Amino acid sequence: MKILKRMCLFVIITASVLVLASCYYARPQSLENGLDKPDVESGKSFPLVITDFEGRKVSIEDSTERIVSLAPGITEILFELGVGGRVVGVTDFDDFPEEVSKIPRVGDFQGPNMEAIAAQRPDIIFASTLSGKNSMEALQRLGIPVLVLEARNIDEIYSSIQILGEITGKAAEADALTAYMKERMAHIEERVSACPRQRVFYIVDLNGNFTAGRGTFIDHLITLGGGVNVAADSEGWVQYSMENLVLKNPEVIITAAHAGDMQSLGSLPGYRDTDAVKNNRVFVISDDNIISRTSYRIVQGLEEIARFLHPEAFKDLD
Amino acid sequence: MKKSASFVLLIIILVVLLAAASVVGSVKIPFGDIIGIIRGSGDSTYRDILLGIRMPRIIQAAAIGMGLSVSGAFLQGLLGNPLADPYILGISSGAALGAAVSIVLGLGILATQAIAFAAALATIYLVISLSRLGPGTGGTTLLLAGIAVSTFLSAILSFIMLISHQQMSSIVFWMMGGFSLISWNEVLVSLPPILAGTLLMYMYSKELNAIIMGRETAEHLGVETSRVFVIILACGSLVTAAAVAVSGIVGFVGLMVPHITRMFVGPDNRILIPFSAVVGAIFLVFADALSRTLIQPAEIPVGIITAIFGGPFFLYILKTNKTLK
Repeated sequence: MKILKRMCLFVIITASVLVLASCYYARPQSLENGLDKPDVESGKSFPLVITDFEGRKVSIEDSTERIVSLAPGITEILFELGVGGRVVGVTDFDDFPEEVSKIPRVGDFQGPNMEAIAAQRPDIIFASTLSGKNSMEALQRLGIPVLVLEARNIDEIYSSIQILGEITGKAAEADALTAYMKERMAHIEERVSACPRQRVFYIVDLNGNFTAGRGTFIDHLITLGGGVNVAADSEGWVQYSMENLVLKNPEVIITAAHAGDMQSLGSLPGYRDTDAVKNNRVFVISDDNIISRTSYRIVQGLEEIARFLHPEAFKDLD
Repeated sequence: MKKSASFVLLIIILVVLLAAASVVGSVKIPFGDIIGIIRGSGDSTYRDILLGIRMPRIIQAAAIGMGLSVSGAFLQGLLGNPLADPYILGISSGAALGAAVSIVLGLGILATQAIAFAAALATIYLVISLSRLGPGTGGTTLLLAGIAVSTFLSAILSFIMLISHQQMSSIVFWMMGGFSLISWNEVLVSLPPILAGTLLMYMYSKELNAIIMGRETAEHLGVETSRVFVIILACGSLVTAAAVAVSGIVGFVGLMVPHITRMFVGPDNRILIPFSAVVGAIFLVFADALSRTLIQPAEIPVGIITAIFGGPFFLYILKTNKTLK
């Protein structure tokens, strides 16, 4: 009898958890987001055929008023182009601009949540390159155009801004944004061009000594900012050999606020012998999203890095 | 070959391997410089790399390989189950969870070690208490309790990873194990508990022989089995926690090394334990050397190496060793 009671209790609890969990994603979307009408005059005529960064040809039949963005960098660009009001779904990682906090979350660390996305009835989905093949296939089954426009290099950031401008009818704004970015980049590159290149190591995470090797945005930005990434002899995000770090002896170390206890570098064997630590040239980036996200804010990231490496080149601005 | 002769041979292999492991690495140190460094001169960058980074790592790997293997051998004998090891019993997961919590809270390396140790002891205490709820205090109940608790703790660990994206690479590092951040500080902190725990366990080799014949038989022979149980489990936890706290979860060593060794030297624990200790040290020093050099200048977490090389090797021995059957 006692066992029966317990079993009943277990079944009831399990059932209620499941019911509650399914309610969570069934919340209907408020109607506030339809206000920002697309600017049809400045855009090209529909249907638009776009080739995305994965080489997929996607046809967009009509103007897009309900957008799901699964890439935080894309969300940032959409807001900057003035169509943030049309974004009806973002990921847990989105935190810029501030308005994004009010938008429903439809994806997290484990990838997109199909039910939550479908509930938003989007016209278009901007997927992340991190979503993976299974998620992409599942997204496509929703019957909504899916585009991968998350850039892998700085040139692709320009292209993604242009394409997003076309899709949302904000081509002029997109042109202005890319022109501004290019001008900022050229300006910074010019300032540092005469400075001697600095040896730089970027700490992604002190635990395991993770760094950003060749092919990462951080690697590109270090080069553009007048430095040489000492970890460029490895590729992507890697656990870097402490022995090689000592041998390469970086002059500057750059890191993010959550990468570990940087106070400990002075006593950490390997790190404590580097020029960067000895000369107190360890810098924490104000926000690591500006050097890793595929957004227009990458120019801010570049300027910060360039100033870390060559403060003398920016003296007149301070 | 006599057992004592083969033991001496094994020690020689370990010493040669330790020397060889000091010579190889992702930075090539010319042989002349190594000689120079030993004599107290030589290039100062190379000296920092050899003495400050490579040496502590190798010694740490040897100590952990030894400690985990001896813990595994004792747990297998004690519980009468060939699958018992610190990982299966939840000790590693407990320690890893403690370490992960400390990382997420942003505490330093010493605090991480202390919390990992406390969590490991709490876990084994919980597992022992749970196993007493079941029928008898036999090995099977303990093993099942260990698996249940271990699975539960791993789920919590995964959940922590899920909600703290930013610390993910740290936690992944802890779960896959590695010696990349070992310095003399870590060696000094972890060596005493590892050596003490291992030595204390070794002193109970004779009692373990008796317990393997059955608890009643052991009691008749004058072994206080309950007391031995508690001491060995506590020592095993101590060694595992000290290891996990500095290098994360290095799986496979505690499970496989005792089996591989047993196939060669037989089941007498007075012989098996010291042999396992040396074989474990050899195995982990070798695995770490591969982890340092295979994709240099990047590193492979050592837990991946131990599993990739150890698994097939173990199966090969199992298949070819006739004396086992």
